[in-house]
Amino acid sequence: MNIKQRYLDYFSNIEKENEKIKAYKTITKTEALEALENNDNPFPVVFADLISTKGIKTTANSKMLENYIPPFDATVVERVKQAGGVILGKTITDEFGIGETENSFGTCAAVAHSKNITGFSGGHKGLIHSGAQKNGLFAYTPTFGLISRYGLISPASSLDGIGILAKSFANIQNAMAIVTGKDEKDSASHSSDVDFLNLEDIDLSEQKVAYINKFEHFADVGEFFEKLNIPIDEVAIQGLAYALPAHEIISAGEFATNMEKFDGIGFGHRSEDYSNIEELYKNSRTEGLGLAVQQKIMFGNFVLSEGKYEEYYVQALKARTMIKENLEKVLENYEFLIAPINVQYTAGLSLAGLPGISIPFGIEGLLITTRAFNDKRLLEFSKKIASQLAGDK
Amino acid sequence: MTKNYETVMGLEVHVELKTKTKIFCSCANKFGDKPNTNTCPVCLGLPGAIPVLNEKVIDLAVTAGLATNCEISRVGKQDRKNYFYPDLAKGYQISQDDHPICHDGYLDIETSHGKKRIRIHRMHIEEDAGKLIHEEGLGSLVDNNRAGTPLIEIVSEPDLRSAEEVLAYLQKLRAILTYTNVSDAKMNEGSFRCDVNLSIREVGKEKFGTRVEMKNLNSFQSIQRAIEYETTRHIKAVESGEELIQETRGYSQDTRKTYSMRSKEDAADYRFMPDPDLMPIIITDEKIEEIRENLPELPDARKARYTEEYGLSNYDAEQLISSIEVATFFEKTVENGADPKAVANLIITEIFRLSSPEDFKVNISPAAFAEIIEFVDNGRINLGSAKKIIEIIFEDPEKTPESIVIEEDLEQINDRTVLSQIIDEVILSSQKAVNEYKSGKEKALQAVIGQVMGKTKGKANPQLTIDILKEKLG
Repeated sequence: MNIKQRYLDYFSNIEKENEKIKAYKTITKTEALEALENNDNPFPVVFADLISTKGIKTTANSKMLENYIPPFDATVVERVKQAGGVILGKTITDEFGIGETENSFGTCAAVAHSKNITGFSGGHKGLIHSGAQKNGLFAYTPTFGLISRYGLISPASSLDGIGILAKSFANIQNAMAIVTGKDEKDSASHSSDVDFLNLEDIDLSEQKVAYINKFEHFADVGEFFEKLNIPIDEVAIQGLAYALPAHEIISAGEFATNMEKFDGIGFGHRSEDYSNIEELYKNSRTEGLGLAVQQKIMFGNFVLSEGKYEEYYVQALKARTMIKENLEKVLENYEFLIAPINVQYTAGLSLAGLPGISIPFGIEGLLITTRAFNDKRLLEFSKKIASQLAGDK
Repeated sequence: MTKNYETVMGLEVHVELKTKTKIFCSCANKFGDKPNTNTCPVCLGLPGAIPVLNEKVIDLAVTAGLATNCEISRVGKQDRKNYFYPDLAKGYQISQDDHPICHDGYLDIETSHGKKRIRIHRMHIEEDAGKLIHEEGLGSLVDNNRAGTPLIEIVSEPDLRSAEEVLAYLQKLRAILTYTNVSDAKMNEGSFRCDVNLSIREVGKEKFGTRVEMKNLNSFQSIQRAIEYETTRHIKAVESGEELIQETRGYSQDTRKTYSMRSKEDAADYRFMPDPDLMPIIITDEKIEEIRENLPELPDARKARYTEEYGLSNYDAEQLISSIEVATFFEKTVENGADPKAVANLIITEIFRLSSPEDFKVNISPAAFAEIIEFVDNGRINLGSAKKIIEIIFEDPEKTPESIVIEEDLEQINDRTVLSQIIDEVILSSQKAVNEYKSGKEKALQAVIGQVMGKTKGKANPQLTIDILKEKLG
């Protein structure tokens, strides 16, 4: 089949079923067909509507930005396009990554729906992993700093990186090879000379692996892994119970100030109903932002306010450091740590900036993490596990 | 009986740094361009665009810190200061809350009361906001060219006690910043801005009075007048038992009064928090040493040289070092062979009248300036003519001192016989003044000298005139 026809098929399927699957906010057929011209290596991708795309609406699924067209590409978008990526559309997310939505997992739905697509999504609280589990996908959230944040409309900049969604490991590897590496536009970004395309075939029985035995629907985890010939120890992470509250406070604080720019002045929704500047701010924000977003802003401003900052924010930062240190301590003795896909653990990884991969498995799925910047080994290990699990079925 | 009060002041000075590009993006850092031409997603605060710190900003802040004897932090962070204002695209300003780059420094000032040390509390980096332009018919417009201009804010301890000290401090700070090429420090272009925190207390008391912060002070003159006005207002209030409130006040050049802008109760809670887009600032010992080694000769060192080598007074030397342009002009003129004291004197009395040291633009070459001083020295012209020549050259730099002396007929009359004749005529026509002088009124002689100068079109040798007059009038 010729390539153009393949893409036309993608679009006819998407257009037919988008109402049902609620995946796409904007379908970019014209741009995609243009991107096919003189393209030796086209591959289909989708970006969550939180990732800035030059000339294509980027709404953060909010009325505030319903007509916003960025004049620049996010670094990930720029790199993907350069490598031949063809954008099928922008996918539905929570409003600004945290608010109300018709589908929290629009990117997952898009990737699950069509063949061979790679999805890029912001991953607030690591919820991208839950979405992947529900949709039978792999989700990969690399070490913080491995993918540039430039152009991502982050709810919480220090917590939320960009994650990758795919049905196959090959697509995750391909995406990692393209988008990782130093970006001068993000000072948190790291240089990387890792070859993600060529993974080594490893012997699972030689790996140092631990698990957190909090699987509710999976009684004998230890036994199961031993059957797969993976020696595994049970561990507990001290302080992990604080992961969610700490994440809630820090992300609310960051979110509140990240959202200050939406004031109806420079861009975004401006209310027509105002008689002074205070009303202009207030009405533009009240009309332009959903209730959950407003609530999170209120909570964020509360934890940052005078007197409360020490009581909440500073405490949450301390909890974050503690969780990071405790995770790192366990990862000194074990290279890989397995947990169920659960918001407490994914939030913990966000706080610690550690990489995570989710493998669809059973009801709860498997979430595997490793030391910071040990991403390639994590991919080698989890690829092998995934193939074992596939074989085991 | 009126008690004795002292004014207690501390300053917050905002200085625009002289970098090629802005603090967090690669837009040009330039004053005076067409509105909104030096902008990009980062300084416009577009969603998803994130800042990356310009390393040069750290270098300049460390330079300013070392030049004002500050301690330099090895680790710093940047914080968001949150508030809504139309000129603030992101809704927050990136500044530094609790870990400033520099702290605990000082600088020495010289006033008519002598030398004094003013302590610097802290110095931090931050970004400037955009600029609001209110246009009749169009409403309020935002120019974001200035958004993201790198600034340092220099906060002094409350060590200042008079407007004179405040101005001396600002002059010295300006001098240091221009010498080290940290900033242009031009008040009229807004690259050097000063807020004054002021309170009064009875002399001898330790407790500070109620403090006000004064903003919008955009010239040295405004600063001086605002301080004087506010000091008087505070003393009146205290004397009459009226309660002062802690507030921010502006100064109006039109009314020459300060006015209330907002009280402390209205002050915003800035909800400072570490900026999660930016990484910690690390400053190594090596970097600090490198910057220290490359510091140029600083104003105080230059001042010491002027007093020691040239025998200038402390006060005169302080005037000359107040800006690098003035100091350079002085030194170049001396290099051309002119007497340093005469040069200093003529710069302070004449050149400063034509061009303020803050914005020093001299239309006269050091060589020409030296020539004029030489003419005075060898008696060819008098000081009054020297001033005239300087003014003419300021108007028309093409002209030379030599050509002006001839064109304007400025050669001094040094001939005793010629002068004697003229003086005889004046004595006859100014009998009233002559009689007054003779009856003991020393001052009356000035009127007679004035007559002589008038008759000679200002060309008479002043000293010779006095000598002859005294001889004749006994």
